[in-house]
Amino acid sequence: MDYGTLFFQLLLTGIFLSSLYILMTLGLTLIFGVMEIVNFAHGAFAILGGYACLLMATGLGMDPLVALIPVTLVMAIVGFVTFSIFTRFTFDLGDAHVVHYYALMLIISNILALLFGLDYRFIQTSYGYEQIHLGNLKYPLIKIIVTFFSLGIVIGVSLFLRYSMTGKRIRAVSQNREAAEILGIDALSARRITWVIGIASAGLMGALVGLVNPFSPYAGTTYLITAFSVAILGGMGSMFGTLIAGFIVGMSESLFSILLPSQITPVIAFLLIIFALLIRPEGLFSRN
Amino acid sequence: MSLLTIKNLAVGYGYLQVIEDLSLDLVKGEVVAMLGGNGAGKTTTIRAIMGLLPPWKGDVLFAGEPIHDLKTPAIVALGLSYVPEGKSVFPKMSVMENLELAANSPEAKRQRDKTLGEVMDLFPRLADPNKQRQLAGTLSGGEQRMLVVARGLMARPRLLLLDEPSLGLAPRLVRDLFEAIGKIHRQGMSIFLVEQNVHLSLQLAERGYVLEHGRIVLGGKGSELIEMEHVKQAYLGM
Repeated sequence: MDYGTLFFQLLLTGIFLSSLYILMTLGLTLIFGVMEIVNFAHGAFAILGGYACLLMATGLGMDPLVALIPVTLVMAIVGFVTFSIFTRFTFDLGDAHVVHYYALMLIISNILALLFGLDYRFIQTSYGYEQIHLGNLKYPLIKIIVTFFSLGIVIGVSLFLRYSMTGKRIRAVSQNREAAEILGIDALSARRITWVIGIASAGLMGALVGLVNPFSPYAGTTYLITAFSVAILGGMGSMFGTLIAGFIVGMSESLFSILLPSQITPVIAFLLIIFALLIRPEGLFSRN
Repeated sequence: MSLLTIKNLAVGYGYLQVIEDLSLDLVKGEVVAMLGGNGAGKTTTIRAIMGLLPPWKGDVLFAGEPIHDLKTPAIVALGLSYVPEGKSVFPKMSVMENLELAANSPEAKRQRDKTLGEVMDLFPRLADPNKQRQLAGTLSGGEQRMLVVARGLMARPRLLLLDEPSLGLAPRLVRDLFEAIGKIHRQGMSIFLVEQNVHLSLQLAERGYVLEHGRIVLGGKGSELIEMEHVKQAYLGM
């Protein structure tokens, strides 16, 4: 392989990883920004989305990409229910809420383990092993599809927050909750919608990762740690920071993968984050 | 008929009682000023009216209906609009978005463009299209204060509650702002004005109350209050 092709491959892989990392972090940072809750169960919700997609693909024979539509619906309902019976009661707990969300993570993971066992599962598609030819380079089609879907979801959510009236209300609550309430904006409803969007995006992310990587009931922790790193690097609660940080982590992981054994590449990303936080402890694009 | 009536209100934070036994009323079309120094309980009173702080005792009536058990969004929907003190804008949203967000009732939504025009007439500084695209957090202190008042008007309220609009503003800006408030009043708006700037407030207000340590110690016509020895000594430095 010549250098040009190699560079192109690293670039594609970098974009692929970046788009997944940004999607992984989207819901986490959005929920933190609007309600100051660190959702430890974020990764567990993602795995739940993975199993939902798997069931619809194997049980109902749906194409996994088509199944993303009912997965979104199921995860939105899961989000609505968990908000009504759990999240809305955790707003006044201060830092202690972390324990509640850690418990929520364990509950979801253990239920999944009970239902599906501990084996690693993988969402198969008829085109899962197809390659597309880009000049000299052969690249897995599925990774390109996953990249487009991830970016599509991120762009969709961003446009919704930026231009829709509901999105503006959500941002208003996140910037100054009391000022929003005295304008007659229902902060609880804004938080509910935010939570539903966050959980649905986590579920979609879990399904998309499941198309390229096997997962098990407890694999959510890996997603959570990645999402945390990106969120902290970008500044918790900042959408723009998440975009940039996701890109930095994804790209550096891809580029370092040719220089170092694959077991070490995640370490590079963390070293990068530690270094960045030494310079800017509040994150690159912190809200405050 | 009385638009806002407060009867025997008691309210506070935690165990700390701030307001004990406060009664006042405001007739439709009137400007009523509540005066008092720092810590007298002025903001606390407004927060209790708006449902941001649950009253311990007493009644708050709006147009004859009790509102002291309602939540803030419901109170806003009835037509009360609270303009808080300080720079309570949404800093990372444009001036226009800040204004849009305040038009929430069906009536306010329907008349949004008309209200925007009226508000721009009152505050010409906000009318510049470039200004409207600017992020609210990057405005000067005076402009932010004007934006907060303008935002309060976007709801097309029946009663405007202004909390210390003059606080921290340069004298020229205070004059501009009070001129705008006077215009709003002449257009028929009922205004409950909470202020430390006694002189300007009593020139504007038909009636005033003086609040000290959570109790109303004086009440009367604005022109009478300004002549009273106690007001002169305590608030006008005479």
